[in-house]
Amino acid sequence: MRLKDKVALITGGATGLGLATARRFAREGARLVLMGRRAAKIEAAAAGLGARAVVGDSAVEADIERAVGAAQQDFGRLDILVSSTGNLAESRNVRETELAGFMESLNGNLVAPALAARAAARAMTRGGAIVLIGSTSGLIGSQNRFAYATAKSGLVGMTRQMAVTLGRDGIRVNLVAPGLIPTEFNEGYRASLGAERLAAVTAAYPMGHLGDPDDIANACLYLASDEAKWVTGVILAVDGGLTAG
Amino acid sequence: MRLKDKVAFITGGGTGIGFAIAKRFHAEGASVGLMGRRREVLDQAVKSLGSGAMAVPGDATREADVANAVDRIKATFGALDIVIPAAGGQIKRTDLEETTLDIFRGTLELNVISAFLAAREGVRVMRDGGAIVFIGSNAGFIGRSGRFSYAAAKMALQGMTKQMAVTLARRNIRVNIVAPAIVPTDLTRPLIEKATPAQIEQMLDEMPIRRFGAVEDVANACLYLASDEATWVTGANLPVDGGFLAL
Repeated sequence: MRLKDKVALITGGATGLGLATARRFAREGARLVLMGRRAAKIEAAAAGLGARAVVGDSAVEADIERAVGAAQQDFGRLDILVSSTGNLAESRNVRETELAGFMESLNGNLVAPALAARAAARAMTRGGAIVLIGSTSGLIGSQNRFAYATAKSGLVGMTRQMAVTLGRDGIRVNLVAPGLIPTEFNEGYRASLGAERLAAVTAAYPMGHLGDPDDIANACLYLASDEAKWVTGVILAVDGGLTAG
Repeated sequence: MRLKDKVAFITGGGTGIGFAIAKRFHAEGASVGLMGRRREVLDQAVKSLGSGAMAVPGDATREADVANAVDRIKATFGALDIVIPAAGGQIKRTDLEETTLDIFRGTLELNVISAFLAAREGVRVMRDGGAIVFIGSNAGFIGRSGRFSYAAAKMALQGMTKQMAVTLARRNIRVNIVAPAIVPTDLTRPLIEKATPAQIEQMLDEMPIRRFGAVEDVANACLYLASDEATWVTGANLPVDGGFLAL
């Protein structure tokens, strides 16, 4: 039980990487608050794990503060935040990008994690661990990801800045940068590629296959647990070797 | 038991970070073969672990010693899955101007040649699906006086990691590196004890967490990277440094 009695808030906890992380954390003894925008989905996910569900948008100040409040109210404190929200609202290159989509991308991929981290850091009066889910798109250039890459690389700076300023208070901040992991989040993207181009994308990964949500859950578990108590400000690529090659 | 039925080869395994890794891996179910130059130290380390541990005395910079160690581990435990080249260190703290060719060459031998030999000989007998974790350092990412040769050597391991991650992926062998800041060991403790309060304060100022780590912190990072929990992690650099590199 590597997270026994720890209280964790997971935003984007209803699906994909957030849900896999929630399941992993539950198995390791954590008490969970799961946040998501779609009521039916977040409630179903939480019910299966004995977690508290909070319906809301982490890009909305009042919503994320309500989620952190729920952790404090139900469990008396908050030890861990995993920010697993994001969107592919604007997935084109710079010349085609429209302002509205760009702003939506920044809002979902950068402002939401910032607000979640701020609310969590304020609540973590006895130390804690924050894990942000970034992307390899924030580390290396890739097609059709102008807005997304901008936002996700912003999380890299955010991670290091918070690691430096919160370290003294015992709050660690790290980022996991996943490569392509088939989930509902990127269903549309994968469908748009077609089989042949998806095979080419897959072949770009030295390991020869795409990732599994559990790969991210395991990385989050390591970084959130006391095993990583001297680890902060780290950008951990979980990407089958993509950014190494 | 996160390393059940795995076999690990650890150079520099009798002391410091290497021994901490051996202890952690052994506790998680792995059989461990420890290499080191000092026979007595190594025997003592193996004895303290009990069954499932063996000593393979030798010099990690000598090709024949490393090849022999790997073969003996394979013969004893039946396989090899994990290689941790933990042998390394600084011969003399110098900057460029005072660095003799012997110091530079010796530092490369101790840190880079030893890692290369452990990796190559390990890969020769490793089962597919194994893992290599190099022990790098924060030195080299950020310049510090007295660490010319060491910075060059430890950064060489970063390049080695990325190149091997790409080329060994076809055998499903993963290659990663941890980059510790200074952790107290028998080797480094005198340095820390000799430091003035002002110097200690300065060291702590460089670590946002404001305390020294422990060899166990490095061992935990190696455990994560060597285990099947990290099956899609390769070519990664994982600093274990209290935030040193974020600053």
